[in-house]
Amino acid sequence: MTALNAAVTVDATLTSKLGWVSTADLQSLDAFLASVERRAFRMAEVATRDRDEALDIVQDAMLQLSRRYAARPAQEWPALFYRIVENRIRDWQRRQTVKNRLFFWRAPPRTEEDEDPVALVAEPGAGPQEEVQRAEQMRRLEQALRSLPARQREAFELRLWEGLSVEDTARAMGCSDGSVKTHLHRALAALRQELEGVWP
Amino acid sequence: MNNEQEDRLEALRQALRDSERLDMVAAAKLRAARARAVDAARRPARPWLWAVPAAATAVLVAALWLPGAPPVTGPQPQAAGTAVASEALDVLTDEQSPDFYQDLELYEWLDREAGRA
Repeated sequence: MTALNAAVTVDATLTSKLGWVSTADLQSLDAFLASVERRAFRMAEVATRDRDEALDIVQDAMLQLSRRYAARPAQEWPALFYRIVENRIRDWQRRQTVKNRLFFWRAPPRTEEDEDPVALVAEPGAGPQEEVQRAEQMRRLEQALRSLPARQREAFELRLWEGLSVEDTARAMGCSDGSVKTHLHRALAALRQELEGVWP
Repeated sequence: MNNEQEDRLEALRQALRDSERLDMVAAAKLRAARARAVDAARRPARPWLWAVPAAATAVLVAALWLPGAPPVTGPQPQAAGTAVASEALDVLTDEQSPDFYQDLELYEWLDREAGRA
């Protein structure tokens, strides 16, 4: 049994060193991606207000994680994955800024009124008035999140929405634990002010 | 952080997590993207593998085509081959009879003797 364990350990080490991914790792990777894909999609959608762009961002992030980091220990995946997602979102925002400057005469970006927040948060069983109220709350929350500086939004999303630890959030954001706490504190203060009277 | 603030944050988190419900189309697209990603992990891309043959080809092309490359020296089998072919062509196109070439050594000796005399 000891020899078998040693063989498994050697095999795992070799596999990891050579960048190969075992079948068990592939299953873990699939389960991990399944657990984060929807949340990451919504984070990207909140930031871009565009479902297709959000889908592209998440697809890219999943591919990059699989190609480059699948052989890394599974506990590192959340921080790596969200780091890729946030980088993609920032790239998209930079591109949009340039595009808006170059093509300023084109149609203005979509406004909050173009969206259908009711469809987003409609819950079976909830009354129409309750649904409308919830939709309005969500619309205001998304608007408030978009208005935050990028680092504050990232700290809020990763720490509070995704529930990463401070250490993993710091790894995902590429900064220190202290910076995460500072960004999060400022984000919460700004949100409190923005959402005054909307959230109980 | 007091209890009231914690409750408030919990309400925000819950609302955000509730908003993760997706329509069937978006969910299917994400599933397909995930399958592609897992498949890519099975066969990781190794772009550096192409670097070795590409570099070797580049060096070869540079050595052959760059101006100022050292001229090729040493025996040139193509040149020798060309001389033999040219000699054979002379024999075939000459108006002399084949017997003349059979006795060529005799004529050369006679020529040398005549020169000496």
